[in-house]
Amino acid sequence: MKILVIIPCYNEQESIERVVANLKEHAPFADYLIVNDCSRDNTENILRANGMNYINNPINLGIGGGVQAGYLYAKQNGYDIAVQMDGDGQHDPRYLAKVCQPVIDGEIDMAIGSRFIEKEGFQSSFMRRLGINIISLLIKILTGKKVYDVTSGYRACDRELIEFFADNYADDYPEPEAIMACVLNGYRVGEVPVIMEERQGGVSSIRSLKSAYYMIKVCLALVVDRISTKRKAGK
Amino acid sequence: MFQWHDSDLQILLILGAFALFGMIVYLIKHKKIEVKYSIIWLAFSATMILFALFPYLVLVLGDISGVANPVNFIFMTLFAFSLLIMLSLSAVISGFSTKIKRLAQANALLEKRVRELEKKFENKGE
Repeated sequence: MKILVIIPCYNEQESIERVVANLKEHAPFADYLIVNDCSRDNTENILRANGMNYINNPINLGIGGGVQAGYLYAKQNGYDIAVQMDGDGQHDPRYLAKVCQPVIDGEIDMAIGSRFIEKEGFQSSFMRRLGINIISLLIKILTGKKVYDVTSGYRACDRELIEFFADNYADDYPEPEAIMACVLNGYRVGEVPVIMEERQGGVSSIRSLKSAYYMIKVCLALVVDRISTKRKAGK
Repeated sequence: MFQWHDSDLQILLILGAFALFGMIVYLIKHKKIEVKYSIIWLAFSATMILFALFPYLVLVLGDISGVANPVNFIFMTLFAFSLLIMLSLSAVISGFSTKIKRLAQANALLEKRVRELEKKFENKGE
């Protein structure tokens, strides 16, 4: 069983070394690929100097396009499971096996590491939780599937989904949209409780000033996804 | 008021419409616009030429559609075409952004393979 951890990374010079060291220590069974999305800081030098496994996007593609490059790599190199994990240290690799397990067992096609099931660890700010709840409710209304941690970037998926994501992956709001795409195309999505840390460095891709704008766009994108995708029968 | 039988104005309109048509044809001929993106512009300039040559058309169409002032019918047509062209441009841009993304991803994966190959050769050389 070949497992690839995809680590999207944009200006993560403070945290990336520790993230990789943690990953090697706690999940030595998995390969990893860092997707350097045209970082403007010292990230690339750190990656090169440490001989890490990485790709460099020639232009900044954003989180969606970056992660998709990782899925393309997983597809080309014959990986069975791909796990997304943020490059900022929020996601603890000790949970990697736990997040992968239901996918390895074939129970579900995508497992999302969720911080809201056992409500332990860093729970994010009130405003952000409110936003997450709204998106979660919208997905429930549009698809009938309840997912609590819709913006979690800690997720594992199987070979079929690797191939699906290599061809179709949303650009701007990939986490909630990927859930929609999975459910609408008949893939099984589930959540696994994990504990998340506060980010160790860098800046979140969802900034506070832009969050209202983000909410409007993400809701619109979800509705558009729903009306433009013909629902396929589930497994 | 706009005088539709004012021949000076009509000549100006005809000249303008043909100038636009000429520019579009020039751009297509010199491959500055691809044919598939030029169709809407050609339709636009053909309509303008028709309106300039036969102002009666505008009067009739304005009457049928209930536009009070014939010149407003011209403005309406202009605006409708502008909207269509802008929409089609948005569609074209979206298509490009997807293509650029795929290119960048393929480039990133290739760069990794080249980097690793170079490293292999360096190690062999030593």
